[in-house]
Amino acid sequence: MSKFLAQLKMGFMNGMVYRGQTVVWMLASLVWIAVLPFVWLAIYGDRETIDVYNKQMIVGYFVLMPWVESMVASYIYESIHENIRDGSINQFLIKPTSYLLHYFWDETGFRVQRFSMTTLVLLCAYPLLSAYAALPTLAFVGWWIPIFLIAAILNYLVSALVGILAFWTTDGEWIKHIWWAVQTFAMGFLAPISFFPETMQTILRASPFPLMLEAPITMLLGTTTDAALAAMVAKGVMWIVILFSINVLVWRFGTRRVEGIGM
Amino acid sequence: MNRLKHHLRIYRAIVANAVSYEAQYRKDTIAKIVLNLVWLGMLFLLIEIIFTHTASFSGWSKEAVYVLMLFWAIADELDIAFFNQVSFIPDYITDGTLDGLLIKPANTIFLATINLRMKAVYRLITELIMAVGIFFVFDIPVTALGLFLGVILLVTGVMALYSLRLMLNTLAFWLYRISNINALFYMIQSLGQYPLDIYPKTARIILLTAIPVGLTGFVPALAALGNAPGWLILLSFGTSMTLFILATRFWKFAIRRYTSASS
Repeated sequence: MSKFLAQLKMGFMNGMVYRGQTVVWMLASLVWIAVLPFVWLAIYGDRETIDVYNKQMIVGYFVLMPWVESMVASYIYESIHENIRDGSINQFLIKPTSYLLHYFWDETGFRVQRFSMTTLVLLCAYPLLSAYAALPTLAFVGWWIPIFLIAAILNYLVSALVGILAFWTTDGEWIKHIWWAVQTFAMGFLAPISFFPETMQTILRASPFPLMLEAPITMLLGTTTDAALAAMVAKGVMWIVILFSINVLVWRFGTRRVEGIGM
Repeated sequence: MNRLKHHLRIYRAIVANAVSYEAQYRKDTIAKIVLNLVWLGMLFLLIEIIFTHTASFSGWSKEAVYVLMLFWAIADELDIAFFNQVSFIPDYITDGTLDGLLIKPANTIFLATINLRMKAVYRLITELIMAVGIFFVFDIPVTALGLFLGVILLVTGVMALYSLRLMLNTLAFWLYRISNINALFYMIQSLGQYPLDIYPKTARIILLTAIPVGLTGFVPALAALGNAPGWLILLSFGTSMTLFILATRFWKFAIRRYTSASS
């Protein structure tokens, strides 16, 4: 456990050393607040609600998005791709530690920093935003830990899978781009899933993607129910088992393809 | 005149090199084109989702929004095809590549920022074909003059984008590790893929002047559809020219103060 805590500390310190980069990433995620509320408010027009969302709630949805994302999002596919392509993964394979767990803890350290900065920015902006955005509700506070934990683990497992696929490709850019395209729609970055056509909703709700971002946000906004949250937790656990198994299998087949050079 | 011919000769060599380089990676090129079609499909899906909730998006019809989205996508592709090199300026500075460019007998901005990415050219061709298809499918009424004006304004919009990105990346002379500023810029650029009418007045002014992402999709689309007022066209030309002059002057200012990264 102490080695993982050391990795967490290293991840946090790396983030502090390159503070400028962290600020830029945070600003990039805050751009969503600048764009999509206006898109959807223009769509609302004179209407008060679409589905269960009134105008304040839809603005609140996008205001909460960077905060939730800072806690649950995972970008380890970038590091895994780079390690596989330049061969530096070899040094991890000979170490008595799990490569994927190493990056989990490393990213958690960076995540703590990102979460702190985003929280600070939103707290400062909240007096201004509260006139236009719905506040998070404590109605489902008992579900916070399981829902956030499931979202973070699912994000990590999918991100790791996207990264590991680099064992089979010479250029991992196209995999990343496909993932970005899928997650933009499927995770709820553009709108709550309930805004999509019925067929799309059915397909997306069968996947783990809505659990990775939309579920925590809807929980915070109170646009869900205890029964729905219980179902989300059950589905989340099922998907964690499935994705973990896939990760283990793909990792095993992938590492067989690695050839060490100069060792 | 001789100087222009000299740079045209250099660019001819760049083009020949780009074509022969891409010819080695045909499968990768095809994969990138397919990926681009998926990405465009996602943009169009977003338009369809928007128009399941409303018949008019801030006064814009579905067909007009398709035109705007396509102009924005084509501008983005032109920027990547010819000016993607701008994103590497921070790396040139930190790893010393810029030193080699400074001693060459050609304009440094030209060498550091102008290139040709054939993959982007192929994607551009598919987007142009798609644009023609959209115009026919939706039977969008355009005049030759409107289309011509739209194309000219598209080019000035791309020049404005190039200038802004050059200014941002020139900051690397002082800030060094800011390569992810281009990721932030891309997020800001996404503000221009929607009609500017959805934003508050102050934001509209900013998006047409200081951060002129509105010049890439909004203004050219208005012109192509025959709805662009004269002052907006003049503003577009004026903003692009001003930004270009500022960007080149800022670059020269930075170069004068540059001290080599190597011995």
